[in-house]
Amino acid sequence: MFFKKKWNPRGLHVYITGGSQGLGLALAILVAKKGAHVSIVARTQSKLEKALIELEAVRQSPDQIFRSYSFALDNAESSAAALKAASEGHGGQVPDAVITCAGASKPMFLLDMEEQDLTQGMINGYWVQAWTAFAAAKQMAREGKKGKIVLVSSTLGFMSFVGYSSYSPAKHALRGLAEALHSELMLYGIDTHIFFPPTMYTPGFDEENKTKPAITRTIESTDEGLTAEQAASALLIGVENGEAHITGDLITSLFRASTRGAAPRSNAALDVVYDFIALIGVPIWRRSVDKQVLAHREEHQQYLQKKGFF
Amino acid sequence: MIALWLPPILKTFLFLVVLYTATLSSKLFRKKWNPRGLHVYITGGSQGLGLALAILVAKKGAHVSIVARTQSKLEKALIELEAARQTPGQIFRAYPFALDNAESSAAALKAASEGHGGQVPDAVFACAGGSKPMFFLDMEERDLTQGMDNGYWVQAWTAFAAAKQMVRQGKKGKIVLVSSTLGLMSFVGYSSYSPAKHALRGLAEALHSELMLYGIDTHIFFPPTMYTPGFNEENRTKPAVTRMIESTDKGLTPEQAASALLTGVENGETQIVGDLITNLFRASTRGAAPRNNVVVDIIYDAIALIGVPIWRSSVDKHVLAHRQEHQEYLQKRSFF
Repeated sequence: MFFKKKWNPRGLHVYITGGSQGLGLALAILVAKKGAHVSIVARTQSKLEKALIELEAVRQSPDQIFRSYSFALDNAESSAAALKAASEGHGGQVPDAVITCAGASKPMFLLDMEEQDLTQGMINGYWVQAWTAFAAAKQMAREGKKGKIVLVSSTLGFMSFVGYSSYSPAKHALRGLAEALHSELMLYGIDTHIFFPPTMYTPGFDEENKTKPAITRTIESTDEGLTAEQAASALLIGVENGEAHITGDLITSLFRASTRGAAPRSNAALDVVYDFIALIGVPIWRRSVDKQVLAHREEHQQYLQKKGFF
Repeated sequence: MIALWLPPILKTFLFLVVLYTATLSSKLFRKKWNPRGLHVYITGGSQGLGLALAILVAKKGAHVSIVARTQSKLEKALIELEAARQTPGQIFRAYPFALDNAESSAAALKAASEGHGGQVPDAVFACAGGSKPMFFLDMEERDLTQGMDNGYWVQAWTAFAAAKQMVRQGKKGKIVLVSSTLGLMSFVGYSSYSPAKHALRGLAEALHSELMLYGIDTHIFFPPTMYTPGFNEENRTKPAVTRMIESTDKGLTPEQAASALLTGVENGETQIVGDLITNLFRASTRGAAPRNNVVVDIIYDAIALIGVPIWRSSVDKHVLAHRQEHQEYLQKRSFF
């Protein structure tokens, strides 16, 4: 690990989904500053146009190609079409790095959910990234491109608690996909990375808070959170350093070390220290979360009564 | 230099751990769960793990409802259940329903409840599931979506329906999901299966926290290879390199797996395993899940600390060694 050459985005084509706001846009700006070509993909044309303006402001050289593509990413066909469109801007070549920042969360009580809340949770958390990874892996293998695929999970892909029963399954699923791809895409010389950000102060976060139960907010309050720029920076550093599982804050690092399973270590010695700390720290956190939930039972029963659940 | 301060650190650490176990672990004194006289609802109950579990709880005096798709398989399964009957009072029923959508999963649960005066079952075991290992690049869109349907949704919809019904009726029941060792890690061949099995883990952790609001317990089982009809089905598509990597897993019979699962539920374990290798993965991916036995988990974790990276390294070597052969395979299939 010490002597591995660092990855450098300069002169490479970096493809970023969810690139019109939040983490994706912050990352796009970051790699643009480092001299990369950037393609950003999202649904809304107007947001993409605003984002391109911000990218132009950090242009380093006249050769850099900044493009935006308006596509839905929740289905296989559109995700593949988006990638193809971005490749056309580069002589038909698939991008060198595909970073899937697209995704959203809608925290709510399980009992308040309808069928579509559960399915949408999987679509907006897992499929919006998986379809892109699927298209990218196939294209990279076809072209013999030894590229990178980077998925974006969440601290909630390492553990979960009340309010996230439609989101955590999706974020855990990304981890399962990353572990399978990490092994499988070795067959083609393609690297797989996965990032686990904590709370990020983004437009997505504001959207989340519209439905978030109070108890969920209380439990989350110990998470200081990151700005989109801080998160993007952690993500990029992790990719540059070749880390399979990337974290950007201490708390998530503790969860990562204690859920590492078979994932390659970032820093074996440091991980052992984290693991020791997590050994004591995480169960204490768990107990405090459980206490808060149990304390909330009475109030919750009244809530259900009011909503005519019974 | 590390060796100098390691023993005192280790001693202090072990002391803290013992103290911690003594004060926090109430599991030693918790009353064991007993299925006798309870209504146990098992999906995927016509073969494999589900049927083995059904027979096991029937022997322990439970009422059993098994759910699966194929009527004929269910009928054969009922005959086996009858052979395990302990008392004339036990109610054994079978319900043919698809479980890959919300509506049918809820209807299945309702049908089973009707056999018990409308009461929701006391314990819901979601053993339904299938796997189709193949190379990622060989997959079509539907292989990925089917992987999620057959690995995740076939259980999630049942858990969803069960949670709602148990809360409505104030039933302090149990919901048990069945993941896999491949829900704790993954390797080549399982890119449609592992996401689903990991997703179940995410669901279990969220439900474990959330269903505390209603006094409902959540458990999740991580079996290794099980020698079942499902396993035979898997092997039709399984790539050779996947089979090679798996060969270190001795596997369990469905009876052994069912026994481990039931024991875990009886002992109130949140995450249940039935073999040593999976236990090492569980201990090293425990995250925030409640511990089964703090001291033993620490030992497993220490072993896993060395053992799992060695395993990982050997798996990666297998895959890298396979590259040439794989390129030829892709050529033959006109992938390029």
